[in-house]
Amino acid sequence: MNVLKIEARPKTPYVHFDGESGRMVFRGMSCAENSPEFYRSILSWVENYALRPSPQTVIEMQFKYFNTSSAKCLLDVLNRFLRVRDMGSLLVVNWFYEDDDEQMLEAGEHLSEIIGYPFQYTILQA
Amino acid sequence: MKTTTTMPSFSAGSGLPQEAITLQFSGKATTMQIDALLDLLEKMLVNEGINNSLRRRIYSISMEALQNLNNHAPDQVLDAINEKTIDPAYIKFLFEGCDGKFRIETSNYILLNNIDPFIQKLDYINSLDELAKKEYYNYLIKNLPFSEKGGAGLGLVDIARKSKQPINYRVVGTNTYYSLVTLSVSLEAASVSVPFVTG
Repeated sequence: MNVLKIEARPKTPYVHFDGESGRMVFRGMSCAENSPEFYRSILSWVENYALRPSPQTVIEMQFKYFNTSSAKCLLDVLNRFLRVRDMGSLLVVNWFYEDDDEQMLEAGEHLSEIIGYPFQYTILQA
Repeated sequence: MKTTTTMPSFSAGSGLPQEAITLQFSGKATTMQIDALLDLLEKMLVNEGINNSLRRRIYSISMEALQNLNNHAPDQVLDAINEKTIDPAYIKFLFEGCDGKFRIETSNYILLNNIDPFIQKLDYINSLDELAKKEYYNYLIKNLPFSEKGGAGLGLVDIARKSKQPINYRVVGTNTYYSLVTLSVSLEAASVSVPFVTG
């Protein structure tokens, strides 16, 4: 239960969630046609983690592309992560984007706006 | 140089930057074919020296368009293709670009019962300014359940947001059960090359 690790595939991201340290990493593409299927186990893991979270939860989101189906899933994941605050965990969401990828910056700002929680933005050199 | 093709494979053409680049696919594509098409599209855009931001907008719009065409088609359309009562050759994806202007076009069958709501949705999206499109997207992502096939119902408004242009459409033909509808969006290099900063 403490670690959820999913290797990257061409259309699904690398996922490494560490329940001990509270570091949660998404990296790569998220473009599966049926994203809910892929995110089901992730949502379930986060649901359990939010009951007994680490003192600090740091989410690192580094996507190259994600489709609209994944966007809705990511919204669900983030909403579940927001619950860790009720259990006293400090929540940080780090959003990474390449230096000229305006679209990915906008996507992060938009998700942040929808969930009503500020993200920290980090530029990656392309 | 301009290359087009008919069923059932795809082809690409590219030349010097001032010349047209095109990528066209006709038919009912498999997931693997869509992936190969998107890979080819991205390579073409990289070869043409199209900047990261615009390249990713084009890729994202094309991905949504192709996934809408091929993975979220109603079962009745898929059955009709299998039973050969409609011709899959009319299902099309086209990307073309020239001199910093790009166009992405798709053609697909829509069930006759669904055509009016579909057109109404397009007209509604096209009537919205950028802020209203964002609010509509927010409403849908929060309130619309996933379809049985995992679609979020956000494809059209997402395409309209990313292109920053109206979605042009025309009903090409209609029979007893289906309408063939063509959608297209345009993008211009200048409209997405605005420098940005963040805190």
